[in-house]
Amino acid sequence: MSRTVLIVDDAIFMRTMIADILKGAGFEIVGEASSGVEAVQRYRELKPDLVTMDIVMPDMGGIDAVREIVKEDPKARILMCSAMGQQGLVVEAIQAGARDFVVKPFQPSRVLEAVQRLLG
Amino acid sequence: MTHQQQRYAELFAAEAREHLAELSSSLVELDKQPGNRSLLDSVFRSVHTIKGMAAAMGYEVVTRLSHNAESVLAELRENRRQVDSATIDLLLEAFDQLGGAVEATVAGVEPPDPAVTIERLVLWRRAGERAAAAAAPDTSITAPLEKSAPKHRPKDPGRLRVDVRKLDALMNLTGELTILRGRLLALTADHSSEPLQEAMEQASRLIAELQLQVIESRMEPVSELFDRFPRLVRDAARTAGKEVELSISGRDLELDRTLLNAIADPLVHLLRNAVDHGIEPPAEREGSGKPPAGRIGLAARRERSRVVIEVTDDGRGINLETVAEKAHGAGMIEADAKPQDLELFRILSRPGFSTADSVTTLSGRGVGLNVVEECVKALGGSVELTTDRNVGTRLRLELPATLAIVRALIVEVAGQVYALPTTFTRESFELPGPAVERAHGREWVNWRGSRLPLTRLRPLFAAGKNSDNRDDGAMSRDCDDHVLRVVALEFGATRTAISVDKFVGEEEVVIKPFDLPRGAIPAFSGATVRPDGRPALVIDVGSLAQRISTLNL
Repeated sequence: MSRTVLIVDDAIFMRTMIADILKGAGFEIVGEASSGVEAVQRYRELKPDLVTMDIVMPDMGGIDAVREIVKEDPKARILMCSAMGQQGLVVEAIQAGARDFVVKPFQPSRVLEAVQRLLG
Repeated sequence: MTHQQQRYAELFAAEAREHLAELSSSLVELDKQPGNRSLLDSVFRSVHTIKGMAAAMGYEVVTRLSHNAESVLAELRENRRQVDSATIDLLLEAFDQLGGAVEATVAGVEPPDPAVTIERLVLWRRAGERAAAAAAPDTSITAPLEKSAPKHRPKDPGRLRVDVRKLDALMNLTGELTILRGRLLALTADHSSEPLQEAMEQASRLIAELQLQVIESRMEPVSELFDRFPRLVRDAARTAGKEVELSISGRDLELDRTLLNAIADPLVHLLRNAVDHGIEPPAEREGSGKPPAGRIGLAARRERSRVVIEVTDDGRGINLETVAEKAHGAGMIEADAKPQDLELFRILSRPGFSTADSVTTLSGRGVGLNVVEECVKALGGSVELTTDRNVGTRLRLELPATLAIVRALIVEVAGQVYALPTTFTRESFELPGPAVERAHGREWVNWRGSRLPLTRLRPLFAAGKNSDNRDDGAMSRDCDDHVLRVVALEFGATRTAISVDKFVGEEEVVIKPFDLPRGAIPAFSGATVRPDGRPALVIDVGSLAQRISTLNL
């Protein structure tokens, strides 16, 4: 059975790009969310194997969303997707419970590598 | 470019534009509420999102610009610097560059060099560092108690981006279905079979509902357009050395996308006019007991099936006497005529008419209004101007909510049926043949006290046909010259009359655009199919009026 993924990003552009990379590698995209609040709700409903999480979003940023999700499901596997120059935030996200991070612009191979490692 | 890259590029363009539009309106709002934290956050997020997308696309200039603007915004967010007007100006400049870079990149051309703007953004930050080193940071921060940032249009995952051409195709198919419905209704009308009638009625209802849904899917809120205007008005006011407050209402009203694009330029004209010529300089306003800041209103609302957009200002108004004087001087009206507001607009909108040399300093207003009127008329709408000395001016644009359906007068010419949109028809009437006058080498009819040039459509429309057209004989028998069926038309400042062979009635018609065959008369804007299944051409009154004037004068 293919692994399920929830993609969180406020830009449709980014969600599409991430979805394409993951779908190409055989993952099943079970849901998308465009804000932190929505991400928490969707996670609760879908219980995906993996979440890709943007950091800067309206209605609760990615780091707070990670905290909320991990509080409810400590085993949640969350991959942070950060932009350049956000090292400080990435560290904060990892402390909040995210497992790994990739930096935009994405190298598809780097994303897949991180995802495999997380699920492996 | 691969198909996938193409798709990413389109997504990027659409989303970046959405953020850019929001950016400039949020920034103008931030100028008014420098302590508003959530506005600042929303500006930061938009720039950040553009940066991320541009980096993913490998758009270098866009990435650099947004990265540097983001750094400035980050300092503001962390309260290391305060929002002031100079900073807003710098950011507006940066977003202009950013917008230009996005458009250039999307169009596949080299974006303009961003070096100067980036240099300014960098200098702004250095200045901050120096100031911080020189003095202890000011920790007192204005309490951000103002109202919250403009509502984000929820980008819920249930929303899809659809190529507008697909919607056009859908619209077209639904149009054909509607026409087919009319035909089926006519064909089955005589059948007494109850199940057939019932099925027909149900199909008919569903098709009507389908059409409504498709029309609605093409609608967009006017905020897509209106949100660009606070920035425009602010810039225009700065340039003119005036203070202006713009208030917008009815942002949620929805309009057909095509219409929305089409009214953008006219509205820009009207708003610029209001700032440049309507609103007085602050000193003059105070002199006449008004608050120093002028008020401009932009409102959209629905009235029955029409959409009304109003641009109002509380400025000096238009000097009717000066206009009348000028109009008389230019031979537009009689010496003793007192133009009322309605006619005033018509006079002001004549090409080249301007009261620039008069005390009202309405420079350029004539040309602008002319463009506005032509554009609005072409959309099947109308413009009305009212003005009060020292109280202000109101321009009211009335538009159809959609372009797909119009009310039309159905007429017959040379054996063919035509639809004449009633937007441009003033009156249809019958006239005894001898009432037609001949003068200056053409025919004229009297209509409500004015003399209109008459053009007979039969020879005009029959001209392109083969000489062996069998209708010709029948026509001359059917339509004697004892009674003339005349339609008085008004298009912009042009008033003219046409004669047709027969009045059939008035109907709502669904217009389908079409490509004219080569060599055809360019006087039709589309076609429709009548309930009996016969096609009818929709007469484009604008080009017809133009053709008439080149034919006869």
